[in-house]
Amino acid sequence: MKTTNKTLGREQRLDRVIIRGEVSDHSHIVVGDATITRNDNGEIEISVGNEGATLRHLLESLFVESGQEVWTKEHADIELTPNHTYSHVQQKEYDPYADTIREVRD
Amino acid sequence: MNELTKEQEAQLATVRKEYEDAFFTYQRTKIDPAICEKGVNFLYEKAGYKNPTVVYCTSPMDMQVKAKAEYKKEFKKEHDGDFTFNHYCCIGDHGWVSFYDFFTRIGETKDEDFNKYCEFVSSGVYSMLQFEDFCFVCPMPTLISRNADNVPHSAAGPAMQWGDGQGVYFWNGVKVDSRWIINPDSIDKEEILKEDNAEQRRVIREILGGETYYERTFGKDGLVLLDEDDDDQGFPMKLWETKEPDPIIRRKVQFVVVIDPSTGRTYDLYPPRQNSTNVWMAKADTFDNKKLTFRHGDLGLVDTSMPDLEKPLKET
Repeated sequence: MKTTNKTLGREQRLDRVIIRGEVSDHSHIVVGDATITRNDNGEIEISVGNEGATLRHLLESLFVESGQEVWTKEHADIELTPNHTYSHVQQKEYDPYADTIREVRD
Repeated sequence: MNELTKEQEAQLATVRKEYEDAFFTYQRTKIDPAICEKGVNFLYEKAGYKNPTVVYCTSPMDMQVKAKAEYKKEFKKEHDGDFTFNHYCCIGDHGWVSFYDFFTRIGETKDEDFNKYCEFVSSGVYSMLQFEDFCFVCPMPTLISRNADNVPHSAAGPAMQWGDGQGVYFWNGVKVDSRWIINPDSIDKEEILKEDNAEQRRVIREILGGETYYERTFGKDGLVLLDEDDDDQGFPMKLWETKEPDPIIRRKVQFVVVIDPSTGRTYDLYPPRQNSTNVWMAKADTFDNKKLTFRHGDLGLVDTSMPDLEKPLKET
């Protein structure tokens, strides 16, 4: 059976949110046939199934609540190859005044 | 009770959403005077005071103005500074009230006084200034702007605004001078150097952008261009370093200026290791020098079956 957003429950759709953006409600979200795994260190792995998946930048609330895919018009889609596994790397930068390394949110 | 039933768990989410929506979807931007005065009188009676005159204000700033006017009328002199807003009987109570409201609704808590207070909370009061004879109240804001971390933030105007147009300005959760947001060009060298709070300095740097911030701080020659090149989409990238150590942190600072291909926005990125010699090294450093397969803004993906790519297959 083809995986659609509607066949996923709310919690499963929430699980597809990889990273939230700088602007409230803008998020990097994986849609399609994929399994997301998170370990205790916060590392995320995306295992793409036979039907393939897409990394999209969407309005999170609409996606999570109703499965609608509304593009934020930032960051074009990236097609993920079927049966490949991807590990997530979050961009980080130095904050000179806090003297810490922090995650970048675009 | 030892645990919630499925129905109670569902109701938990409903109650939470009800309280969040009341604030964030602007459902209570007008105070219900009947419920408000009933609640205020209840609170004053519990504290042993007679019922006060409730003064309806349009914003927290308006509360200060009206309260100072009453003070002047009574004491024949100006009040020194602002009155301190109460940390109770205000928006800050919505957290614990929603918690006990849930347990009341599922029949686990029964307290008449709490029920009265819970009703008062629904009147739409954002804040109060309580005096013996007067109680000043103001409604919920009509605009709330937050960033992804849900802290108040707006680069375009007030992060919270009330119906009378008064607002407060925040940059990623840090309260800032409204002028910094409305007219950032007015931030000059003297103001930057006078600001010895590192957090406020960071905010100024983020508002102005690295190039402007360091040029205003150290002058036109305050930055050294270490390298420049175009990225794979043809957008220019520049790696800068301050000529002199930053006076607050006493070390030179490196940053690379890049353009987001999808929005055209310019970004400053501060490489974690601060030892880059070219723009590519600086950019790679921000992704922990991992060989990315795809880059989707600030999110990188590495295909575990092809970990040694020279460049990402696609960047957006």
